[in-house]
Amino acid sequence: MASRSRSRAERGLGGVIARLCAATLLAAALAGCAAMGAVEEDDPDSVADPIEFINRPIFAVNNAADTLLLRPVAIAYRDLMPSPLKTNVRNVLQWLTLPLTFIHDVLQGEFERAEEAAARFVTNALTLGLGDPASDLGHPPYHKEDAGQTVAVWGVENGGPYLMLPLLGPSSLRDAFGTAVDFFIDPVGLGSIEVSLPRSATGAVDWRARNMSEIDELKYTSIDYYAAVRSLYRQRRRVDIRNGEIDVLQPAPVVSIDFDLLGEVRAKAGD
Amino acid sequence: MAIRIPKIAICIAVLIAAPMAQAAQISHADGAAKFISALAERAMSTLAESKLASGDRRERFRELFNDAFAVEGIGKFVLGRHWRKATPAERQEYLVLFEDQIVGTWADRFTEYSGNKFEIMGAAEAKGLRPPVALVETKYWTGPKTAVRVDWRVSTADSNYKVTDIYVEGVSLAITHRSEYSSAIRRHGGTIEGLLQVMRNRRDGIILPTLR
Repeated sequence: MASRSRSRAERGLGGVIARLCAATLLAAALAGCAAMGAVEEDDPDSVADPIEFINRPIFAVNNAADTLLLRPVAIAYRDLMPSPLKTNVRNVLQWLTLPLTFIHDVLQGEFERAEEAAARFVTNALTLGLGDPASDLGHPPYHKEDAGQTVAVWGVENGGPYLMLPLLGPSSLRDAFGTAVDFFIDPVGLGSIEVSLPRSATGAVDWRARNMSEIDELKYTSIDYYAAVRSLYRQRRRVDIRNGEIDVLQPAPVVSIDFDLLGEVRAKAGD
Repeated sequence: MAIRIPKIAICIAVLIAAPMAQAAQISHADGAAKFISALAERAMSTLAESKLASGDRRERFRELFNDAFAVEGIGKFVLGRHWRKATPAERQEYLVLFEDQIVGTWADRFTEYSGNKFEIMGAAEAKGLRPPVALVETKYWTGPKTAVRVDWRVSTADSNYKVTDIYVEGVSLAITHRSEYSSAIRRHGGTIEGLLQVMRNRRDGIILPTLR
């Protein structure tokens, strides 16, 4: 895939630069490189959030709107709407995203996925989007694309500063630009606020209702809800841009073999 | 997946494969997949009982967690560069609080999920990684038509399988927690003691207004 070889080339270039750095500079400079690298590697989310002091208050406002408005409405929706109707709503919401997904699949050169989106759209059109015969017939699973992902595939892999948008939620410079573009080019609506607003509102309620316990759990038990949401958002975007592929080379814990602190503590405590 | 293979083809395949199967060793990917499968079974049989008292459930979960997960490695990763700066006493306290935190948050959630249908979709060794690692892809069915993709990162060194990370729909829990803890440390004085105080408060049930 074009996007993957591009990023491999970029990683190769980064590797060359790192080796030059280590080979030609003295210990002090090495330490400097390493220290900077440690911060980058340790907390890339924070490094990519230069306007955190603005984002956090906006996040607080969004949370208040969630507590006061979105969550109660979502609870009512979850408890009062009959299950089949909720499924219909979800089906229609997904179906309406398919034309825009088709456009972006084509723009990204993903012609197989574009075909999948088109086929799913046509098959489910028989039920006006209310049903999902495509899944029953064994079509490949639903997928969604947007302008932010397209721009990323075109080479803007770094999304730029993290942005917490009022009401719209977590975003980035690249993705906010993408959201604006999508508003105008989406075949369903084409910049019409009368179409987009009810669609977005319904989508928000449906999403909040479906993920009620997970979102509540995160909101009320996180050690830092803002940082958790930021990390989730950035990771999800990377996965979506890679079309679901997990990067096994990303940072991850390793089994520590040189000590057994927990064992010692328990032994002392007489467990 | 229902694929109709002619019986004769199966017979031939078995005849050819049989001697090879005897010589073949279980790959680490297969080992990891079996490990996750066994873990799921164990979780279902020990945690899904509805008559369990909450305390019992937590203890069983803690045992399972310590057995199957690289708890110290994960705790160390989540603390990031602050681990190096921490004193041995701070590290000890942190690891204990960290484990308590995970057990407290996840025991009940795990119970909720352990009754669901769980499918192993496949496993693959990550080529060239040292220490060696395998990714096991699984699916949790949360409803008749909805499923969540969960990938398990399993350390396979010396065939001593331990889970080192979980990816829910592609999102790493270890990375998410590391980001959270890093931010929490910065906002509570920049030292590990600040974080430990937050963790102690949570353990003791003191939820400060800012955390809501």
